[in-house]
Amino acid sequence: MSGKSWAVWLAPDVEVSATAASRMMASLRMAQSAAAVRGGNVEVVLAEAPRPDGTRHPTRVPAWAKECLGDSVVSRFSRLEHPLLALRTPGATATVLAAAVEHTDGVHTLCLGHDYEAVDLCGLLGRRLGAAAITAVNEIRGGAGDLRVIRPVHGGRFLAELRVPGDAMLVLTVPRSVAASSRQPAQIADENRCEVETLEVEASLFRSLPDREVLAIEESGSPPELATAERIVAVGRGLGGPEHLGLARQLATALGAEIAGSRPVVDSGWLPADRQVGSSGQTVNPTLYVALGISGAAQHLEGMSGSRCVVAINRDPEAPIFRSARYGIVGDLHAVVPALIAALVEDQGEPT
Amino acid sequence: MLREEPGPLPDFMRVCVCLRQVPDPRARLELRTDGTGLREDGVAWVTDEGDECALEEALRLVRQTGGEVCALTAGPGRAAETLRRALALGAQRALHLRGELPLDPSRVADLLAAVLRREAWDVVITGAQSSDLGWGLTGSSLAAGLGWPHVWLVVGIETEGDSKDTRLRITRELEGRRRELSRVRLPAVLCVQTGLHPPRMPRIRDLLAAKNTPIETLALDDLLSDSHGEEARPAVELVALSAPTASSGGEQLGGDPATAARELVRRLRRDGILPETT
Repeated sequence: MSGKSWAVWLAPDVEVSATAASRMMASLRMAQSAAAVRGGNVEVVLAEAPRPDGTRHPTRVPAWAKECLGDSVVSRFSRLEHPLLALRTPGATATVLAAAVEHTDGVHTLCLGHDYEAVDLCGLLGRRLGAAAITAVNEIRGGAGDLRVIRPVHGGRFLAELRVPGDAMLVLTVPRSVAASSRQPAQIADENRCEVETLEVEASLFRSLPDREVLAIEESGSPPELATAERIVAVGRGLGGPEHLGLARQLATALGAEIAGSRPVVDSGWLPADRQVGSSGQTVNPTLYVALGISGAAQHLEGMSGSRCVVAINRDPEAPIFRSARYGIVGDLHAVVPALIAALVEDQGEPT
Repeated sequence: MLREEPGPLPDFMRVCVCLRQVPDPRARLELRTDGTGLREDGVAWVTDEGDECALEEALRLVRQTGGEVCALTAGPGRAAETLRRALALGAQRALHLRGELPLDPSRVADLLAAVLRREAWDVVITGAQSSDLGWGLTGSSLAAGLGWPHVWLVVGIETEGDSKDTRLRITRELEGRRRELSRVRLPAVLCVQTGLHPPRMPRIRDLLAAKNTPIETLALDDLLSDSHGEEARPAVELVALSAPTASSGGEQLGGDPATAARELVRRLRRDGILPETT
């Protein structure tokens, strides 16, 4: 199958964060895999609203996008500009992207970096384009007639291998771990190597779209203390209950660490919201991250994957967190943590 | 930008909550030896946590505005348990789409849309992402099928205005602890994030009483033929489930807790993660 495999990048409102950049790289990696499996060219489509002053974006690759492209071979870089993209609602964005796909011959795969915006777009585009919509895709493989898509299920405990008809259009969201697990770009893209164009499409909301009206985006007021912490002790539901937080705090004190938690722990009110690590909470980059009773759902790993050394203590030997850990201890944390505190104290007390 | 003003909030809200029965995410799950799926013997089935939160929001919304909550589930016979629990918690009606649920959330959404179109609803509420498959797509696919707006990752639902001109103001969670406030016209699909309000627990008495409440049942197969009128979409099928292979670097420290703990501290110091003792 020839055709086009698209990495779709949504231009952010302000600057491109490292997280957003890694998601764009992840979508590009997957677009490359899709082209390798299904044939055709890799193209990047950068979707953006017009500038506030009404002038057009220049037909060239923005500097940040060159970094995301790295040494990737891309046959075309399209700047897709449309006023509807300024609404930043999934319905409006999907309308524009669907029009762009219909305007272009032979698009067989669309890859979006997995985030809160992309998941919505995936569902809407799947329906509008008659495509198979699949989120959180790790891998695509197989041949033209027998396409396989791999994604995690059951909180990352298992991988599902899905079969999709070879001629299906695919709309995929791709977690940034896909970029991290691949080769990092060694260089900044030379834009002369790919065709750069401005893509114009006709799209309007009048056709079908009942949408919502975004009134405001609120930033959280409190400072991200965890973001700069050197050491973190994080607790999950495996802790058993808020009455056991004292144990985790003792360990945190012994290590000189901040205390943090997974989403279920914060949802249950054991810890305040500003202590949550994960895609909906904070992204942390400590030297040491000790995960107590945390199973390791993808949303949590997203927030802590920048940790230099992860230690996991969990009763379940199959908890996904162990795959991200440098050191793991399988056991009851209520026995292991006191032993760990004792080992730290004893170690301090005995001169070597 | 031209857009329709949100319509008035009805005096009597008709809310449908879509609930999914999932294997208890806290229990140990095992694969079938042929790798085609989970071993279902001994699996404890529970209502998905996100959907329980959705039910909680539906009950709160209807208490505020007046109206009725209908609990809807699709799945085999055992899924009726999820409906009985919803009835015990305060849902007035229960609707069971009985049969084997397709894997692809787009197909699930087609089925839900086929049944929801038979009646008038003001709001459909469901969880943002199930703990088993976790695609996060059912809500948006359903909304697209019905031609309604939807909001994913809802963390706040408020009514505004008076009874003549009321709308829903929805707070939604973005990344990095940012939130988006929007105004939504009804009917709409809301996909609720966990943690908004702790879901209530049913009382034994209510659970017993719910056993006598009739559950309306429809055969999924009949709906499947109904919804085949929708534009054809490629079939996504499960070929195999597998345990991921262990990634590089992970080292398990064995022995009793004291030995494992001492080993851990020694390694963290060796690796320069913790400072050497002086």
